[in-house]
Amino acid sequence: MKEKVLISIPAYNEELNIGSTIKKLKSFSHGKNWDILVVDDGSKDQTSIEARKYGVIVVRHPFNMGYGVAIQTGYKYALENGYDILAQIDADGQHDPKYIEEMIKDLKEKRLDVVIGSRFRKNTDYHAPLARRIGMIVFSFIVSLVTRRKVTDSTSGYQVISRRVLSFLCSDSFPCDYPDADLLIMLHFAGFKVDEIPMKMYENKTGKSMHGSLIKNFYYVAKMTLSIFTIVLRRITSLPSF
Amino acid sequence: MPRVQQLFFYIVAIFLLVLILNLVRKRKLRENYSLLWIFISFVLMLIVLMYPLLVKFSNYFLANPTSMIMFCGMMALLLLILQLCLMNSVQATQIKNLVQKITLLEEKIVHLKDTSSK
Repeated sequence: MKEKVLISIPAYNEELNIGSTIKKLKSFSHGKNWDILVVDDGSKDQTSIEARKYGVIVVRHPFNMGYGVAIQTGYKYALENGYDILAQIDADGQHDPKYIEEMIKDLKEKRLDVVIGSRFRKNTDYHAPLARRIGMIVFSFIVSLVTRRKVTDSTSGYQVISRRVLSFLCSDSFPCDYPDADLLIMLHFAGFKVDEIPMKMYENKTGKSMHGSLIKNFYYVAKMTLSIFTIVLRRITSLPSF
Repeated sequence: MPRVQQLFFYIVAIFLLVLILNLVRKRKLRENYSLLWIFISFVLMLIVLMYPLLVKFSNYFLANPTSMIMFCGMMALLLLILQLCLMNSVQATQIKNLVQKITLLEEKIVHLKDTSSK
């Protein structure tokens, strides 16, 4: 029996990119038991109208709640509708859908719970701004240190997740504010198996990023450090980290 | 403490107490939010009533009574802010869950409408 797969695309103000992302995805999902879900995070533009033109499932937040909440809505949809696997890719066209199949194969063969598409596993021509690159390296190092497993891209939003993890990710302890490095540590402490596969990621043509301004960058570093610290602290004091 | 100052503090404390109770009566302020405010107005009255005790207490910390009142006031405000942050955190999670529930229910309605029209 073929497993039911949901491709979840969190999107905010992506009317220009969402169509091409869905088209690309459809060319790979043809003939497979894959459904595509667009989670419109209260966009001010025509993102959901554009997405509906392609016959995919579209859900829309009544107002903007942030990236973390949007991806969790995708998890909740998958859990409620009985999907076995959830693949998550960005709406801006940075993620190439050709890796999804390989990631699903990896998930099943190695009996993993989460497979992450890593931009830095192999030498790629992906260039991030220096400050962000340093942040990525530092947090990936911390995650590797805590989980005792090499993690090269803790901030990647390209993920394939098994149903086992979905109910865990739908709980209120899910870190909705930038769920990346801290989430990987939470998953490790909860006993889930996470691995990476190398992938190529395209540059963002619009130059938009959820870590946009200097203040947001600073907030991200401070929040992530505190979040990791409290998760480890809960572990040390034997409080459940989720 | 001069009589005028004592009277002023009493008026402020009573005004605060009446204001809070009236807001609770009109259901504009919930009881759980009001408790700390009521406590503060009682403390203010106690300070005026037991002024010599406040002087003794302040001397113990080598501070003057006015600074001590200011310090206690600041601490009370910080406590109030903390209480609000705690409630805000709970409500943020509740709002998030509600938004997600509405979003998913809306999709279910659209799906049901689509299947019934076919």
